[in-house]
Amino acid sequence: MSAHLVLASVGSTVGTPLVGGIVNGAVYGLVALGIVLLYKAGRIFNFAQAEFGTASAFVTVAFLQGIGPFPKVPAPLAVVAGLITGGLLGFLSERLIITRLFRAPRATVLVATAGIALFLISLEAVLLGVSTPHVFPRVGGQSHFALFGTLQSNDSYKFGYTEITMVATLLVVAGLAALFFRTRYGMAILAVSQEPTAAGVVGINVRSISALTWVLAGVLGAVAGIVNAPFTGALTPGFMTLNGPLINGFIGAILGGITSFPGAFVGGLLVGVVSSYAGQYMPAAVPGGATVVVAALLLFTLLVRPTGLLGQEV
Amino acid sequence: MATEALPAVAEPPDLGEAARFWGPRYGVWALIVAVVVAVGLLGPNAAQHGVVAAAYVIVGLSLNIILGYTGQLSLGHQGFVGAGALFAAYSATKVGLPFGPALVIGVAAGAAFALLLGFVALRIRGLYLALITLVFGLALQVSLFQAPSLTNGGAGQPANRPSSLLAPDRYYFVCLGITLLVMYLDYRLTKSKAGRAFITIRDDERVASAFGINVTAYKLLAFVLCGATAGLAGGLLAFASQQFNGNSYTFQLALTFVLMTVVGGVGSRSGVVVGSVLFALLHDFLATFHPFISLTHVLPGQLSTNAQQFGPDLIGALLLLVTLAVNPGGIHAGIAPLMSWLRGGDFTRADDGPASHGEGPSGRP
Amino acid sequence: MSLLEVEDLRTGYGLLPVLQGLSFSIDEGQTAVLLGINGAGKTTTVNAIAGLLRAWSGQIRFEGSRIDGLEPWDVVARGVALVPEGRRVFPAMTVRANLELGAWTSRAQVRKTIDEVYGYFPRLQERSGQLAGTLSGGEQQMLAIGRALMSRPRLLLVDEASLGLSPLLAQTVFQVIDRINDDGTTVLVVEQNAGVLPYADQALVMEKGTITFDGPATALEGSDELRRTYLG
Repeated sequence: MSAHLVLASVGSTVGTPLVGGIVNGAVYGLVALGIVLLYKAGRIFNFAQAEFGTASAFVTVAFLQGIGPFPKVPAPLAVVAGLITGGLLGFLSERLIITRLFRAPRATVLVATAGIALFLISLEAVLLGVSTPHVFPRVGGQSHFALFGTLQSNDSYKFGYTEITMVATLLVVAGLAALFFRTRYGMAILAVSQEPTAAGVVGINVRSISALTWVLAGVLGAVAGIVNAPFTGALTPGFMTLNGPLINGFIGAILGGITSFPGAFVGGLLVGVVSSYAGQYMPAAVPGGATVVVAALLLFTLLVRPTGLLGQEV
Repeated sequence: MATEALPAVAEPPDLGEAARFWGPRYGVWALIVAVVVAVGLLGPNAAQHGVVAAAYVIVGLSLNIILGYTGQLSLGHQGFVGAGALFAAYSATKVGLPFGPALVIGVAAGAAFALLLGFVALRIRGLYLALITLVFGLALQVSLFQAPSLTNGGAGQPANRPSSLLAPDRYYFVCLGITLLVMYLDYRLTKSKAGRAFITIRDDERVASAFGINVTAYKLLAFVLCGATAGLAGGLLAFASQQFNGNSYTFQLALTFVLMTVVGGVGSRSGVVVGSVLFALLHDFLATFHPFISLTHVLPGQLSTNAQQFGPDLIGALLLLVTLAVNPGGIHAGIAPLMSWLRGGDFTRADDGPASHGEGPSGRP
Repeated sequence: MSLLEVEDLRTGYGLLPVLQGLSFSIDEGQTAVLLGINGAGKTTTVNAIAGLLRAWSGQIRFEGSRIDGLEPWDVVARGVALVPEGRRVFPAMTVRANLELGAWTSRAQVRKTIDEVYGYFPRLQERSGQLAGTLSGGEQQMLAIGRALMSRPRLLLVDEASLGLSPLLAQTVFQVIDRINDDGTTVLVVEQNAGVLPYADQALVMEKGTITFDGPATALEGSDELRRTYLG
């Protein structure tokens, strides 16, 4: 009696939602990282965080498939173009909008970031329309990991797009950690977030660091969007903002304590896994079961442990 | 008498000086009234848009209670508005209540859900609470608003207007009346003990409770008032389209509500009214605005069609960003002198709040 | 030529003027102390020199060239370091990371400079791995001074050196500031505590945004009448 069969039956009930949850959760975690970064840097809730990802994913798919004026280029180059798009959007948001709201109430800043998101969504809709689906190709094809539930004993292991995106995510998270704890610019971002006045006084150009922070947030958003795109399939304008990643990213960030990077990523994963199981096992009579369960999780966390599950400054 | 406490500005203006300016002042007032009335007389299309604008104004005032008077951001207002719409429609169609009582049920539904959230707000504040409201609105949107038993199996709950209100122009004038009533009640609220309590709580909760203000009760009251007005707007919207459709009350709508309030100018009644009307009408205005449509024809192929369909959204978002970047105080800061003048004061630039104080150097990003 | 020259400086917050035509200069190698009651404009003065506050009119010259109008980070790069009011250490970073950030503009010889700072404040070396937010008030003051020294400044501005410290600890801080000065750094200390006078060469007294006394610290220290007049 092969362990494979046991694994397969466990897999279809436990494993399939788990894999789906981890994949979605990784996206939420990436969005949460960007949210935490900007929250730490300036106490800003960035509602455009996920939309940086949508725009970047569209640019990547345009280069991958040679849509419109975009030349068809190899996948790595297309991804780099997407990342640059994200960074540029972050930079422009900071320079054109956020710096002007230095003294505005926080609600106004929040609304401004939401305005950036709505602007990008409409821009995508005008440029691409909603009638022609833009399918993001699944580089590498299906894999074992994604097919956990239907594993067969004679299958040979295949390294597919699920693995590619998961590895890319881990690399980004590791890169971010290295940036923060190994480079002086990461230290400067943390310094500005903790004591902006002192940061200026020790010689850190606070304005440049603020722009750098937004560039980083934009790139993080881009990674989230590009990672999510192959799982989404046909991309629609605003798919990162309107279909879950933005809000679940926020919930993940808060579950993780809003100021902790590891907490944010773990929080995002948790939201992904919980909503995946809830979607699978909540009775069909309750529409939107996954959202209700995640909402309850957020409410419960904030009431019982307002500092988040892993709340600490990192 | 309470009037004794009024500051000197409330004294009658110097007639010799002011009388010369009352002529044009009455003229502008008359123009405003004429435009508002004309909307009801320009045919069913204009009246229908007027109804939506009136409902948006009520939503804006509702958000202004919670954001402007208590400093709390609600990102889930589609939930309250939608709940009002759903229960008004349900009680009209399934229970058979007449128009008025059905609206009251909508108001009660909005108030009840807001009260629930109000209890949460006693424990959680600031941006965290904003996020709770977001998730709350979203949860209503995907669960309650899709519940088959309430929404006619998902097809939408009809909400037919009584025959006396079937004509859009008549319905418009009813909505206009209700909106004016809400504006008046909102005005009374700010002048009342509760209104002053809200402001004190917004500025500093500990100071408020030190003054003997019951912070808990007033916070709950603010949420209930806010939810009730949102529910009222929802009821009006349901009867406007004569049906409740859960898919109309989305997160994007909640964002639009917040945008119009902030762009209008948080805490300013006139600013919020202008902002709400603007956002209610901008999309359809641009979509039928001939110069705009002919401009989109210049664009090649598919882009032209897309621009016609989504261009208004793009322009709306752009207007929002430009307004905020140029003037964080919103429309209010721009129209404040006009409003001051219309009320009989000087045409001077009023203080536009803490958002734009001074031009000092910044040691921060 | 004086190292720092302030000439007819006017500035304030928002529309509220604080400094009303301030003029003084500090020679290289001196320890100057700026005394005055709360609200006299002492902090405003050093903040303006450090670039945290824009001058409305007048000039601030360092080594003969104007530094008014520069951003704080550019002022540091010229060789003027500020220990800001309220210390403002980076609370969620270790003592050592705080010091390393202090060397943002002068990245050569970071290790050597850290050792020098540890020489002035052995306590910081003991606490080097501890988060700055968990330090005592006195230790945070030492760290803030040490962090400012990391940029190897030619002029060190210390705002409220002894505020909130015990008299004994205040004396220790003054002694270290004296040593820093002996090692070649010009120092301007803002104080309310006249106990700093024995360590100072030059004394400046501020009242309502102007300098009311500018002379040798010994003159102020030695004359009871002057002390009564200026320090209350």
